[in-house]
Amino acid sequence: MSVKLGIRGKFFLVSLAFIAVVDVMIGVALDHQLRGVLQSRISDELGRHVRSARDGFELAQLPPTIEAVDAVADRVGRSMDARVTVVDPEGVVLGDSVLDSAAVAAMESHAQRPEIVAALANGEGRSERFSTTLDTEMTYIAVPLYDDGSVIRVGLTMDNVQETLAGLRTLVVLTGVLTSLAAALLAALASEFLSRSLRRLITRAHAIASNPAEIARLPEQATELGGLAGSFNSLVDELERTMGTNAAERHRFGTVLDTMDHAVVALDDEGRLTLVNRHARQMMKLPEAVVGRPLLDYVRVPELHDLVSAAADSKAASGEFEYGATPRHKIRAHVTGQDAGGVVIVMHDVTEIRKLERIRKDFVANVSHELQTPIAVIRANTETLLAGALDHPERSVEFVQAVHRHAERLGRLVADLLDISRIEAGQYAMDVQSVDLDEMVDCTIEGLATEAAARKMEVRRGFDDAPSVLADDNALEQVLVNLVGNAIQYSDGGREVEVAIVDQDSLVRIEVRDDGPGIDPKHHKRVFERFYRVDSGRAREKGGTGLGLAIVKHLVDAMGGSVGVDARRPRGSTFWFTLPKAPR
Amino acid sequence: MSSDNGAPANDLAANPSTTPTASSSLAAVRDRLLRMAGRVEQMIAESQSALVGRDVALAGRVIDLDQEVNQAELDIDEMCLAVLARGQLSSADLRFVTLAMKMVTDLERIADLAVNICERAIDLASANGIVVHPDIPRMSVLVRDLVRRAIDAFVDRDVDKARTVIEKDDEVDTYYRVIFGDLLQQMQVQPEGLNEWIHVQSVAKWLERMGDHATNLAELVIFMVQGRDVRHPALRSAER
Repeated sequence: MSVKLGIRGKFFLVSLAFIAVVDVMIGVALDHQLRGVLQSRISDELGRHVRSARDGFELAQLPPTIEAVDAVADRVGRSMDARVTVVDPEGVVLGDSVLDSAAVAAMESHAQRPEIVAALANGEGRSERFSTTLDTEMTYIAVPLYDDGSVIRVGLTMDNVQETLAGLRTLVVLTGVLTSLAAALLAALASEFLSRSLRRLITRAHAIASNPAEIARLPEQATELGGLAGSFNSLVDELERTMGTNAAERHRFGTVLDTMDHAVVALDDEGRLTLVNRHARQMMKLPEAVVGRPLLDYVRVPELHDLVSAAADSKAASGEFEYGATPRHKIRAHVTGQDAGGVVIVMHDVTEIRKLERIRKDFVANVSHELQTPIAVIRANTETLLAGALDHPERSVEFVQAVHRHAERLGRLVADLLDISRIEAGQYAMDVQSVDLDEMVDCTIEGLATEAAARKMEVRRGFDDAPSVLADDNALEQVLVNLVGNAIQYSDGGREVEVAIVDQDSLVRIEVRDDGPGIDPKHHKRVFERFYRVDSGRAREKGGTGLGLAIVKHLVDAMGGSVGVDARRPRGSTFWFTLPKAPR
Repeated sequence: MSSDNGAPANDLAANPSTTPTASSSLAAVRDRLLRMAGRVEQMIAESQSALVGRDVALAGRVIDLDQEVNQAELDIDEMCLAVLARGQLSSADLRFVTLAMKMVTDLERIADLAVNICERAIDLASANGIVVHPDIPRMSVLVRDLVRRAIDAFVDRDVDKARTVIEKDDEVDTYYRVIFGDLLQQMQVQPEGLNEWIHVQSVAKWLERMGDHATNLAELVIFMVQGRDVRHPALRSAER
């Protein structure tokens, strides 16, 4: 059926069909029953008629001629209101009540009529058939007459029966239509009630499906549908419980994921994001609504996508890649393929770890190198002295001076190293208080004036009035002396060192600018590492320990600031550090 | 993000005029294009690292990556032609395909420029003293950001983001003028370093060219989303 019916329509149609079938069956049964009753009554009547007619004829002793018999047959037939026919032993019709004598003489032989054959054989014959003579449906009964082979037959037309039956049929159809209409009305009402209850149930189920938080129960009634509502309500309870458990589970899972120190990202088999934890959002700088979008829309790191492809084939893959603008972060990713398709990516930022690994490796190599040089010089000089130079006092002074110079250097190195480890361990006693930068900078410039003059350089104060900062004055002095001292020492060809101050809201940025050859950007990130040398040979020859900038960094860190170096245009470098501003 | 112009890229399936096979081919084009863009962004970043860090090995690796980008260009062009040959595209999808073919060209040019920078990085690795102008790393970071933004604008169909790329290209040009001026001065002061200065000047020029390609990408994105050509505004106003 192409037309879709609602439950109400279906119910209505089924009821209607049922009623129609019952109506038709009743009509057919009634029709059949009535016809039977009428026919048996007619045949009883005919039986009585034919017997009394026979008795009449036998008593009358009529001659077997058409003239005599037909007149009597006509009278008898009229009084009986039936057709009376008399047939002689040869089958010739001698009299018929519905036809005149001339017509009777012209009639064909009736010897082969079924009722007449049966009457001669069994003493009585019946037949219901179409009479060609009268052109109508007739019922006949025939019995033998005179015992000489003659037969008398009485027939009645069935028209009466047909009329009665037709009237009855009209009645049956009429009542059928009326009862159908009444039943249809009732069915419509019943189906409306039923469908209303069902619709309520459906609406409620839809409401729960679309908004699981809004769970409402149905009123339970003591009917079949009430039972359905009861099961529905217990289903709702079960759903509510499951949802509660799920929500708790999801919340716990979400909390665990978000508090994780690793970035976690899950992708489906088409590379779309299905799960992102907080750390991943921060690491990849993802916007809020990313679930369902391809990872490629946000993160276009070829190495990561290669790892994802590799994991999809062989279950697991790991690797490292760089991510972000500046500074580029080193990220280690482990990608695991899921059986159900898709992958889970776990990432962590290893920038700091890799940097520390490199610094430690370099430190061990550098410190041995830095210590070895003075020790080798001291050993060589003392060996020479012991080998006989001691006997030549005028020459031995030179050797002893060299020993002294390198012992001093070793001493400075060890002192600096101790300083750094003390600062690192938090054992450097810091007395942080408000310090006047004006005075501190003036003092530093004054202290280094001689050294600057020796190199034909000038140290200049590039500001008028400086705010006070929160710092330890010894530490701050050492930071300034190291930076300005470095600027003087390493600015070959430079003329001027400027100390400038940039007010940055809650911070003060102190800059030491030189116009020397500058530092290749390659080294910018590493100059504050211990023993890191931009140009190793030249720096050592100037007597540096390679620890000055490392000490600066550690002291500034300890005072809550930061340090850095920038290139200047067209040449030179700017070393800077920040300190918190003192409250006024 | 305007969603009223049909949606060739983000929800291809939602477009009734595009057959399912065409929409999956368009999604494949998009995927390949974004991967190629990621590779190009990486090449810009690493060309700068190689130049500043005097890392000859890294420069070599970047030069090798160019093969992959060239292959991607050929593949994407072929995929686009296949989609076009099948026909039956909506006007929005048609814009997407033509856009993809043009974007690929710009991306490939940017990769070539990164290769040029790496070749100079190899030459400059053994130079004495400081040769890389302090603004070069900053300029490189800016250019990479512009390429990234242009691609993000493409992904998000974000016209405003595309416009910021076009505006910010002026900053790239400013960097170029400053660097060029400084180098000219250096050449006069230190003529013995002329060779190196010219190399550095080329690097700055190429970065500036990359910025122009990023602008092209942004203009194409505006065309894709709005169906309006924003290239050559002067020509357009002259027509009227």
